[in-house]
Amino acid sequence: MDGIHDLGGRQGFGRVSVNQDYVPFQDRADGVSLALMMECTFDWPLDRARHVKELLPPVTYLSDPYFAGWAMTYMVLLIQSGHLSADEIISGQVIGASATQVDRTLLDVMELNRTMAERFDGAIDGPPGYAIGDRVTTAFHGAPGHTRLPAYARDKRGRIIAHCGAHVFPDEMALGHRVYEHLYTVAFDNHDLFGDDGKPGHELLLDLWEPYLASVEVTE
Amino acid sequence: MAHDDHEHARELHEHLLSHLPEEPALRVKALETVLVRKGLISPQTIDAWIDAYSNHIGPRRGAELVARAWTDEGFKARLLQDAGTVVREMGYEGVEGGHIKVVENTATLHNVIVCTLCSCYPWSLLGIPPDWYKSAAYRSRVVREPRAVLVEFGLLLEDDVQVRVWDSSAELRYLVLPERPAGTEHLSETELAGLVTRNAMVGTERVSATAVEG
Repeated sequence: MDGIHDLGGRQGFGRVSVNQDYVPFQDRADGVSLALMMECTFDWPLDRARHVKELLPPVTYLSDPYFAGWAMTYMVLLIQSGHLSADEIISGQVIGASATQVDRTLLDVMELNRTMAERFDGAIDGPPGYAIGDRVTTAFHGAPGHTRLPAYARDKRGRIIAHCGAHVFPDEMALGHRVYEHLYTVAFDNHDLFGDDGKPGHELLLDLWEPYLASVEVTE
Repeated sequence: MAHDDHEHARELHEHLLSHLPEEPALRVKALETVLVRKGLISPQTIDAWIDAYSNHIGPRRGAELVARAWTDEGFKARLLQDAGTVVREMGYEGVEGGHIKVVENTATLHNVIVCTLCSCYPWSLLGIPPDWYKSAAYRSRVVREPRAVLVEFGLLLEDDVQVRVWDSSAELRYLVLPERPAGTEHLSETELAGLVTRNAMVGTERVSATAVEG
C-alpha cells in the first residue's frame, strides 16, 4: 500500500540527528517492547506484522518511538489472534490467565535468540527468469496490501546483479501464504530514480522478487 | 491479510489510540501489564531480554568479524562469500540474522545500508539499531542524497569514490566491512576490533586509527 512507511526518497525531513553515543533502551519502554515482541511470537508471519505496523495512523507512525509503534502493532496482532481483547488492554483487567509465565534467565534468552534466526529461502520449481546482467523494469503499480517494492523504485529500469535463490514472497506472506519466488539484487542508477541533480552519482541496490520485475526489450 | 482484516487492523489501532494514554511509554506499559497479568510473559523474562540486547548482543560482535577479516585473508574471503555460515560457526546467528551478506568498502567504493520500508538491520551482529537508523530523515534521504547525509555524520567522500546504497527490501541483512585504517599494522585483532564502530559497519563512518567506540 502507498503508506506513510514508504519513506525512501521523500523530502522535507531535515538533517539526520546523529547520536554517536547510542545506548539501547535509555527509555526502558523500548526494551519492554522488544521483550514483548520476542516472547509473543505466535503464528502470524513476519510480513503480516510489518503490514499491521504500516496501518498505524500516519501521524502516530511518524511520531511514536520505533518500539512503541511495535507495541501498538503487537496489541492489534494479539487481539486479532484471540490472545487478548481490546477491553483487557484498555482496562488492564484480564479475564482469566491463559498461560503460565516462564521465568527466563539471560542464558535462556541468549539461546532462544540464537534459535530465532529465521530463514526465508526455499525450493521453487521453475528456473530463474533473469540472469546476471539482464536489464529489467520494475512494476508500475503498487499493491493494495503489503509489498516490498518501494514507491521510489517503481516503473524504473535497473539491472540484475545477483540471484539470491527463492525467498518467501512478502505480498503473499502477509496474507498467510508461504509462496516462494526468485529473489534478485537489482542495481539502479540514482539519476534514473531521482533525476539529474548534477552531483556525483550513486547506485541503489534493492533485493526484489521476480513478480516485481519485467524484461526490458533491448533495442540499441 | 484479507482486505476486511486490513481495515479491521487499522480500526483497532484507532480504537486503542483513542482509549490508551497519549504518551507512548504508557501505552507500552498498558500492554506489559496485561501480558504479565495474563501469564503470557514474566517480569524476569523482560529483564533478561533487556540485559541480552543491552550488554551481550551488540556491535562488538560485528567488530570481531571485521577485525578478523582484516587480519585473516581466508576468513575475509569466506565472510564475503558466505557470511551466514561464518556467523553460525561463531554462534552469532539470531533474530534478524537468517541471511547475512557482507559488503566491502575500498578506497574507491563506499557502501551504506538503509531500510526505507521499515528498519531492517542485522540485529544478531549489531544489536538494536540506533535512533538515527530508524529515523524518517535517514530512511528518506540516504537513498536520494547519500553524500549529503554522510557529511552530517562527518564523512566527506571524495567525488571519485563510488557510493552504493543498499536498501534492505528483502530478508537479506547487510553488514559493511569497512576499510582498515592506515597505521594499524602493529595492532592485535582485539585492538583492531576496538576501533570498529557501529556506524562504520552500517557505512556512515570510516574507521579511524584513533577511534574510540561510542
